[in-house]
Amino acid sequence: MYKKAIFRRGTDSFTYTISDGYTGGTATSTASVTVSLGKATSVLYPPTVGAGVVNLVGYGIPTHAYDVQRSPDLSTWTTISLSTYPSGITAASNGIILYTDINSLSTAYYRLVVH
Amino acid sequence: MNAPLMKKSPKQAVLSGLLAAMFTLSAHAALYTYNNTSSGVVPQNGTTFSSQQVVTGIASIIASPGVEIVLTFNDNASLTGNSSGIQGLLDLGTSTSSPFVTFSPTGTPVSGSQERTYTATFSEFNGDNPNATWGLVLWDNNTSGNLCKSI
Repeated sequence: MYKKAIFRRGTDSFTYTISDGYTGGTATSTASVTVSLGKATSVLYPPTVGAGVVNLVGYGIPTHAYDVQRSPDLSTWTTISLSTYPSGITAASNGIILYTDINSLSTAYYRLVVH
Repeated sequence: MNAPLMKKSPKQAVLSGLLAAMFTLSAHAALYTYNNTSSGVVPQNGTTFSSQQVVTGIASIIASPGVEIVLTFNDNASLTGNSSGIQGLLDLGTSTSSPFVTFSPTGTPVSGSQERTYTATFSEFNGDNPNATWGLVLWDNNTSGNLCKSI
């Protein structure tokens, strides 16, 4: 079983041997794996909720662009900020990112990712 | 934690546990101290470490010398004191127009430990109402180094 020693971006390789389990025949080969990271996320703070509206507060690096994503189940994530901000939301000079979701789900999870 | 199995990135700093962030407000000769036990990795990848502290019940405005913060880091990595390493923000409020200060921490050694502390006093908030949600934001401008500590 391949187990990468350090979680690091880049390419690694490992050698494996397979056996037919019957005659004792084996074959050895080397496989290459590439570890890449998805977009990183930042924390959004507990939102304030109005009538179908969720107000979100998060923090980013000033002038950097971020996207707000929403999920109904923590599995499938949809970027919801793009329709309003095609180039992402830019963190203010004090790092604060505000976003209002006007089409919130009955159950919704939010996260902030680097655009 | 098994020390021989740990490999710490030379470019990654982690806020220590207790007293990761503490700030003191001066208001009309009175001092108000808040210990924030939030801790975590200061990320390098465009995201931020952040922590909020709600302050209520102070009857006067912030006065000289101002607001002091004390941060504790687990080591000296990335505490360069400039834009090549860890940088931070302290926000008074949660609006995009809220007053703030920026800083680039350096590390003061802690005797008998690899930890480093950073202490700074900001006068930029003097005259402001301290009763608000304060935000501490930290990030690391380094882009090299491993992204995980353990092997």
